[in-house]
Amino acid sequence: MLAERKNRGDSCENRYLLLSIFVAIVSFLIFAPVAHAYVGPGAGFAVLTSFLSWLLASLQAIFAFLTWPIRQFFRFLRHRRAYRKAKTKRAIILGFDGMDPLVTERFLKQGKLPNLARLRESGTFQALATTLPPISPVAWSSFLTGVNPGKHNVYDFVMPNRRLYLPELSSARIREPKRVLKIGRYKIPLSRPRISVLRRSTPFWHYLAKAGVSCSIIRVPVTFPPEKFSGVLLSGMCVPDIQGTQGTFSFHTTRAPIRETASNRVVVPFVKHRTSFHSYIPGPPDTLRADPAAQLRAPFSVKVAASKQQAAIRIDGQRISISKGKYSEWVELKFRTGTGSSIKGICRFYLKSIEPDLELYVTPVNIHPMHPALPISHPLAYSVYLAKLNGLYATLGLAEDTWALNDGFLGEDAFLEQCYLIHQEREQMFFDALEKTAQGVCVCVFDITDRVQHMFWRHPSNGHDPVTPQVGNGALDVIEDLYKRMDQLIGRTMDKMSGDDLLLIVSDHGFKAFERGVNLNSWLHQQGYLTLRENVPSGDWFEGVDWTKTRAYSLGLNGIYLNIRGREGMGIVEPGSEAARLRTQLCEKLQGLIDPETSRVAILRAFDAMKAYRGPYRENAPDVIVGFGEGYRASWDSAEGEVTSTVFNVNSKAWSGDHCIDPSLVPGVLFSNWKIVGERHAITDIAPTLLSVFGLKVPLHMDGKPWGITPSASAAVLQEQ
Amino acid sequence: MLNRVTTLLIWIDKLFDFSFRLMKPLPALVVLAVFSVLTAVLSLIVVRWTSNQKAIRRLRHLIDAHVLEVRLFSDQPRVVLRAYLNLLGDTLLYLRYALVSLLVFSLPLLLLFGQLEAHFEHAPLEPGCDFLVSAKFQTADSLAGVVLRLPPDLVQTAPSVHVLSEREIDWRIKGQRAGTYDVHVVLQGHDFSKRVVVGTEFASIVPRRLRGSFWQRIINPGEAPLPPGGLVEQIGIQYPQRLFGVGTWKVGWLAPYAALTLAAALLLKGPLRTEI
Repeated sequence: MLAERKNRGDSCENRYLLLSIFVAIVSFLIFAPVAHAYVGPGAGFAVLTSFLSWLLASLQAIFAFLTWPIRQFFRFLRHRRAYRKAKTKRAIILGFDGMDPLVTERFLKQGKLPNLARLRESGTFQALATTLPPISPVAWSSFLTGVNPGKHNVYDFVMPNRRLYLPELSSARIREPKRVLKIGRYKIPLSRPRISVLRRSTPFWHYLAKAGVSCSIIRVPVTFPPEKFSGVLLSGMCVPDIQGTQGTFSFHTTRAPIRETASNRVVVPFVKHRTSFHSYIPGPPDTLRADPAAQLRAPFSVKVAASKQQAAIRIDGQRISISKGKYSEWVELKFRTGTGSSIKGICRFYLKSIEPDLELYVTPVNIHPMHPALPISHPLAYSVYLAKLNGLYATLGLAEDTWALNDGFLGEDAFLEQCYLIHQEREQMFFDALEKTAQGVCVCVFDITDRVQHMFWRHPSNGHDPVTPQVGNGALDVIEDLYKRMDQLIGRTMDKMSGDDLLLIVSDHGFKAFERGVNLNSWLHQQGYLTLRENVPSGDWFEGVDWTKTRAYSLGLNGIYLNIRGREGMGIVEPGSEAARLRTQLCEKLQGLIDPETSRVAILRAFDAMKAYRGPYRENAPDVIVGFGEGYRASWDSAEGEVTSTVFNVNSKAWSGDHCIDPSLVPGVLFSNWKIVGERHAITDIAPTLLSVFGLKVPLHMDGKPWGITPSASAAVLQEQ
Repeated sequence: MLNRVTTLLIWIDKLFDFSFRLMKPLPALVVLAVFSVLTAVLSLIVVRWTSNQKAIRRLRHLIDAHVLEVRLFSDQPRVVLRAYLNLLGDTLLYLRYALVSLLVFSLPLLLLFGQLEAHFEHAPLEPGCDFLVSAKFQTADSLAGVVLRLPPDLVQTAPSVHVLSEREIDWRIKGQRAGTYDVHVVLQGHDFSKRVVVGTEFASIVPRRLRGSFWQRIINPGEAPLPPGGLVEQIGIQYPQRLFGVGTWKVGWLAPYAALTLAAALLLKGPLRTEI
């Protein structure tokens, strides 16, 4: 007791001593007549940065307030018709990539989605027709432009370079700087890399913004590079990583003896030096070196704690403590070039195991949102603003690393944790955008629904037999949990809405199981349309293909291309009637193709692009688009241009759900708090509908038709009309 | 206790005198720059170890975000107003986080400033030019018996002026040759001296010798205080101010020192991994 009192007394004394010192110093600083002269720079030093920010903001705010009436006046002159004919002051569009109407319906029936149930009861719920093919970049491009693919020019994630028969990204092109100074082994760029958007047609928010409607667009796919308009936009799917790929993770292990590279990943061995392990993160191409394979690197070391449960990573002067089975925060990386400048990126570390082998997973290095090496937002400062406000965030288009789970480098729990970490960032962005858009249009697309369903569809919760025998613990509820969380997000959004706000919940496609793969190239080979060179084994990207005898080939997820003379590098099919005959022949042969092993229809329909699409870019489409039957999809090898001995094979990967099949099988969802008249609406209708809701004329080139849409209360009137 | 502090201060004086002596051949502005960089490094170290760096970094980002908010959403007065209010709030919070570092650093900074002022505030007296020596006494009665004793190179050029109301005597003196001298004010058999620096070289200049208050001792370092309770309150020399040329402007030491310190701090905060 005495000791306790003494301790308490000591701590009191200490507190009084500290207080006395504090009071003495403050009194001295305040009352000492000479001191005030000295405190100036000291305090100035301490507050410099905040003061400058404050001063800058004050000046900007004063300027904004003073010029606001003038700006409003000119705004009024220019946009006096904005909102005048609008049915609402605000429209909120939430996109959930891959949200499936049948799964939603099932969970609705089970009462697991109360907020969506509210929308269904008071507003609208129906299936939303998707595009041909039902692939995210294609469907979202139609969503944002209101046109069919023949007018927006996006038909898949990739398209072939017709000269080289190699894949290229279909949404954007990043090319080397125009002017380069070559000195021996070195190339010094004299201008910026050239980035161009390949998607054509105009996003609906450009029309709205031009009319004076505020727009905040968050992570809508195929918006990279961001195009200028008078609103804010953060690019989504198709934003590359720092290497320029769609996501290349690195895996560091003491098990691998040498570096291994595959598409989407690099395995780098650890080198032990005394008590620590050394490795490096591969970075962007070293543009100074003429060797195209030269890459910048960010070296790092790992020191394992004695407990074998933790490790410390040292990278670029930072020390990051990480526990086994946990992710680090975002870590800023610098890739230093020969000129002394650096390219900045961010990544997360995941310590997979320590014993018997040290295994460390590193996410693809994302473009740094505060120092973007490529533009990822409009205005450029918007990505910086979001990062400053909410912290660093994933900028990569396909940020959820499905490849790492698919190839066994990440476990299911780790993958899910990654998905929800990213999703949390997106939610923060969305709610900030919603807050900033008191009037106008706020659009945000969430990708998690697509990624998680791709990887967890195999589990029996969806009424399908599991394709793989290993089902992770607790994985049965993953999709249900996902839908519930999205429902909660919708609930929180509805809480922030006012009475006449329009809410649209849309998805670009639904989902089905991916049980068996169809190798279209093998089928073309067996049918004599594709010829391999003698004694040359087939490999990725058409290795071993004899182009002088090949009439058709397949690349990507749904497309078959004819080897047309003058268009392809070594084309042999004459354009015109011969090509048309060949397209018809292929469609007839593919339609209703049966899988001999299961006797199921592997291909439901095949479409002649010339008949399926209309528009100026129809010529760029695959010549035949394959609509796979339920349970089927293009096999992994087929998508990468490899010919295998069999046409059909079992998909044994974790990637067990897909949607790149016949569009009639995978419609998306459409929910709204307003009543929408009619059924069988399509994703292309959304853009014209929004223009119409804000009282704008729908451009004639748009294929979609505006819906009859009114707030729930006045729906009955509309029905009567 | 006070004696110990005084001893410590004397040692600090010696340390600074030594370091100034080392830098004697350098121009005054360079010496000032060296001290600016040292101040910046010291402040950064103090800030790094005494502040919540993570919270400061977060606040700095938030402040930047609010600045960008004002720019990005300038068409929406409500957003601008809210951003501005948030900015003010976060700035105050930031100052709260910086306060501990500021308090910890204020005492060493005060000692440092005392030393810097002693060396940079005034220039030495020019040889051949007149200057004033003034002494202030405890009572006006004692002014009659005061004698000023000068070394051979200092000469009195005019009769002394007695200002009874101020209890002060002023002497006009001329330094004939460069050097450091002591002038002696003698009263009732007690000798009170004051150092005088004549010349063109860089040196420690103490314009006033005061009677030993503790704070005065800190603020006016470089010369031991006058005996407490003695008849003389202070002896002062009217030194010219030292001015630094910045383009066509002439400014005192504080402005370039502050600017150089801030610049150095901003440059070094990255390498020293300190968030300010």
